[in-house]
Amino acid sequence: MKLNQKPIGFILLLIITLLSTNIRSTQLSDRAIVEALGVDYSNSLYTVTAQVYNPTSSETAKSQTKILTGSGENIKKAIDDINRKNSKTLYLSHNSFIAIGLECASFSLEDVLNFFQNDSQTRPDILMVLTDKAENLIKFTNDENTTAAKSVAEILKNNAQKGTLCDMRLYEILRHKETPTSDYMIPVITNADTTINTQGVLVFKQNSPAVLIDEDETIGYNFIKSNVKDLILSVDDQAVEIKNSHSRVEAKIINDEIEFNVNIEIDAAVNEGNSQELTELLEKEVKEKSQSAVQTALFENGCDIFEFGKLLRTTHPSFLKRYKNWSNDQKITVFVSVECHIE
Amino acid sequence: MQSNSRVMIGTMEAVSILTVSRVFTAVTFPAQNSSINITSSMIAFVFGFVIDLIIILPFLWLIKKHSTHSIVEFAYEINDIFGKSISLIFAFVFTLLCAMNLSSFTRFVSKEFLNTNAFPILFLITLAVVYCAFMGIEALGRFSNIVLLILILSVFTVFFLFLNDYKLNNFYSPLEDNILSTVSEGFFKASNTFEVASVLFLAPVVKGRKKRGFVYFLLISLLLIETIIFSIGAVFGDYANITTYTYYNLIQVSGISSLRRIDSVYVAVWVLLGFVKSGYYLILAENLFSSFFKKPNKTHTLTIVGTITFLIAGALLLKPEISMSLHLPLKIFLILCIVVIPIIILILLKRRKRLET
Repeated sequence: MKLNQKPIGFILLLIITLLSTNIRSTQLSDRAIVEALGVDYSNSLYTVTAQVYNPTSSETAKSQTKILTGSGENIKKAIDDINRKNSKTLYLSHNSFIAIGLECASFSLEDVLNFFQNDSQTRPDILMVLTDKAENLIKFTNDENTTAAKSVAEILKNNAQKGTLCDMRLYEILRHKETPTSDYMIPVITNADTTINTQGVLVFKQNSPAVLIDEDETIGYNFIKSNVKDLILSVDDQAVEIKNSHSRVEAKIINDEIEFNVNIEIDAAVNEGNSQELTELLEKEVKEKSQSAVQTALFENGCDIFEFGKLLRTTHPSFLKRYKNWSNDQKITVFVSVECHIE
Repeated sequence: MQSNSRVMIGTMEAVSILTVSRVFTAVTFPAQNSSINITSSMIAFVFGFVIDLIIILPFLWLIKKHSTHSIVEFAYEINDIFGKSISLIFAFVFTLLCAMNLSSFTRFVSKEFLNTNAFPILFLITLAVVYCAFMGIEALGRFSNIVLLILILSVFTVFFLFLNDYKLNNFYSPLEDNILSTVSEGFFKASNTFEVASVLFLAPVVKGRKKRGFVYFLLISLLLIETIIFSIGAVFGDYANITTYTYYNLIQVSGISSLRRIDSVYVAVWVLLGFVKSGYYLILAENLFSSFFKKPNKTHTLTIVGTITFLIAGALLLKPEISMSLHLPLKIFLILCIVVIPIIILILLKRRKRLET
């Protein structure tokens, strides 16, 4: 028996058309497109503040945005609260950064990270920052009416490119967090009335804040991680432009003692007055900053943000297998050497 | 595949179907739930490749004389009951595999993308897959050639997009892991390839050099999977252990200058892979079910098989834990079938030949 294919085709087409209306969807007009999101925690309640896109005929950036706030026992409930109060559904895929209040970070950073890691709309490369109170940062606008989303993203990008800050993305934080030998950090920024300032990076050990690395130490950290580019350093009252930097770290085991050799190579430029003395001063400055970062993070607080432990695990697997908690049990020495080429 | 519907396909088409189906699993869940580190995991895939080459040997030996026979036809040569049992068991196995594939495929699309009710999506995808099966193995083979090309291009594009972000420190020494764990993971990777078992049914409709085709399939799959795992490991490191759709997440963070947010392109490629894989299993299931009828009608058989597949996939969507618990027994069953059934047939055929002489 051969079935007539025309009615079957028609029935299938009908089914497909009918089913396509059965798939739940949210209209664009019912969405609130989030540009920046803040999470605070106080009195057992999470407060989520969202800067959302609000198209109007006005030309200023501020009037094109709207601030929505909601609270709840967890972040999901706080977001649901915003959705309910505004009859809109927050859409997080275009979010440019997530600000976390310091109190929230001290109390439940892991919950916040887990929430955004599991949220299907949040992209893994979203920027993360810490601030005194996230709500204030999200509501920020400067003199030129530039909103928090633009200002913060720009500040993070510029500073991270120079090496005065680290732009930590969600997946990078989680990568450090999931590596047993590593610790993670998140940049801290604060806002006054019309300005945003960087404060350095806050290092976390086992999900609790351990130490704040200041700007100089952050530069030192970035030299060790080869992240410095286009940075102006003042050396002996002279502006030196660091064009590029590259570092190589080697791990050695000598008589059960761990030794890390950090070799930093720098290409720099000065307008005038290039001399051997200036080169030595620059080398000294970079060395001091890098050593200071290692001293504060690793030796004083036992936080391995440099991924030295990971390097040791890769190059000396049997050694690390013997000593699980490498940074506490062994004698560790870190030698930093700097080589500058000034044009 | 049965002789009553024999449409021949070229070696290239067969390689494309098998490779695309094989890589689909790797793209969806690359190196998850692995007890070993990512370097050992990459080595385990090479072990898996060698194991796959070894376990197929009895079947290759079997088809040396009768290259136009599938495992079912060999079984029918022994006796009818044996032939029918093999047909029935594998018809259900391939239906189940197709349903498992459709349910995981639908879960990803409904949760990660549309955040909506999964059943209408499952129904629509099943309809598309039934249509694909209706078009037959030849059409699927030609379509797979294009999909394989797109797949190779996309995997290597992603590989080159991350060139500046690779951190080789993420690859721990394989010496960290017990060699036995790595080898057993190799067995796991080998048994993960239901496609190797499907070769027992696909081989008779393949024109040309089957053995060479099989090796090409394994080599191309290995190359693509290793590239995928290398990209994931070098960028994500330990973060890869806590993500569900790791390769999708990797593509979400990829991009240079204006070439960003290419994850939607990835989903399109991924849909094509899932479509080929589901269609392939459904064709095998339909073919085995047809062997029970004297005058099989493709439309009727596909309607029945498609309905069964939809119902099973729906049940697996409601209870995903069933799918998880079915994986291991199915893998053990299939790896045993690939080795044991051809050996049994070889022994019985030889015994019969000896008795005849």
